[in-house]
Amino acid sequence: MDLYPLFNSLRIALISTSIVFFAGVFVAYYTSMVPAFLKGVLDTVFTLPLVLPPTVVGFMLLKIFGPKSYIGALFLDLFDFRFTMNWWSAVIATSVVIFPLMYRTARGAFQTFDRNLSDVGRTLGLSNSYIFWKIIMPNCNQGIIAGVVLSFARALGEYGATSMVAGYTPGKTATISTTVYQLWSTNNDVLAFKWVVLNILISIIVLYVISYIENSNHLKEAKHVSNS
Amino acid sequence: MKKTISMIIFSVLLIFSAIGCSLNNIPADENDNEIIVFAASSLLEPLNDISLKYKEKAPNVSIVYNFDSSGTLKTQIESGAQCDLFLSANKKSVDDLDNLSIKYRKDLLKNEVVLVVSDSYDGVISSFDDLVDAIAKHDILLAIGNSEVPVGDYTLLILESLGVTYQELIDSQCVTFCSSAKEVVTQIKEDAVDCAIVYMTDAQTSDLDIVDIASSSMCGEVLYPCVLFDTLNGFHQVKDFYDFLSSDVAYQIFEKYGFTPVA
Repeated sequence: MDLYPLFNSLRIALISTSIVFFAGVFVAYYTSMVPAFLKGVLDTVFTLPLVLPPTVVGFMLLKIFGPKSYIGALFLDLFDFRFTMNWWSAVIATSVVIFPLMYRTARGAFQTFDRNLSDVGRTLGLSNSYIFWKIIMPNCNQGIIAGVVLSFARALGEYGATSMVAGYTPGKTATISTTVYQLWSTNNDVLAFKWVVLNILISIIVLYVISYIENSNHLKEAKHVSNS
Repeated sequence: MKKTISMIIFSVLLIFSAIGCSLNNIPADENDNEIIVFAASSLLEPLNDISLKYKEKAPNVSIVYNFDSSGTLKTQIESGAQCDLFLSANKKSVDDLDNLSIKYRKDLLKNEVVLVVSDSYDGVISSFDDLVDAIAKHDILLAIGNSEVPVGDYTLLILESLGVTYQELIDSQCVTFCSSAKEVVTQIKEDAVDCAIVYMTDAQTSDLDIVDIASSSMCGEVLYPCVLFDTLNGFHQVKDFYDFLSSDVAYQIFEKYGFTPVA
């Protein structure tokens, strides 16, 4: 059984989740500091990919990055670089689709963060980036980790936008979800079922590992609180 | 507690009314005035024109189309989908149906399979042989239908006749598989791929750059069988439309789009 789809899905999910971790956290942080009406607008814009069907997202991405679009044609002419029909096309599509998940959970986490803690840090003369990474982030741990979990899980299962933007080339752009669809549509139910089982197993393992991390975090925090 | 119970009762009522709504639609499907036609996606344009012409002849009959890859349609029919007429893009999708109450069958149309090249492709591909060379060099991106899509099936036959096996095709990583003939056309029209193998009729309709035409020694004859199922639905009306598809009016429309009627 050719295991490329497994490797490809995991690779795409990991890279997308990493991109979206930084993008989501920073955008959420700056949005939480912006005046109220602008917050509403930004929230809507950044949550849009979550509410739109992935095929709509895929369609928009093709219009923005496809070979006949302004950006796509430019890159094709200058660098002979194709945004679509490659495995990294799936990374772009998946990142857009999972971004709202990271963004919303991070927003929620930053919203409930006690500003006093960062203010104390400022009175002690600490730099903004120190405050962000060493004070704010550790305190918003649970929310951020929840966001990462959701994003990764969703990235692993992304189909609509990926199939439109990356196509299905076995050994190059095939993911588990597109492979299952193609196998089913060519009446190869046996192999499709093997992939389905494999996907369920991976998802169970991934979620178990992540909930283990979450729980050990809780224990660490509990110990910390009881010690101080 | 009261609130929970009333919420539950409300949800149950909502669910039942939703189910009730869809049950009401079933009698409408068995309406004498509706003909359900499953047709290969390459027949989209001519069939839409034909139903307009048929409306002039029988104004109170409405024709409902389901356009998709013939392989997908075959699966839907086997799974019990309501269907009066099936126009497939290859014989395989009909032969595989195990004579599920097929009342009539005829070969309606002929088509051809062609190689097309995208606008922005700067290499030189002027024939299927050039394509085979490019695949061997892993130097091309080709869009074709998958094996259940008739045009994909013909493609694989063409490539086999030129010495490229399915496994070699996969190993070259030069091919993206699509789930219908129309999807292949979209990929080549959007320049997402360098070249594609599509029907002559689709290439003409979408103004594509045709570089080679497959001969019948490469992929056999591209025949479109038309099948009428034995359903309870207003049978004489369906038979009338089935016959209309072979009329001069219909043949003119098919020819306009590049199909060749089977005499």
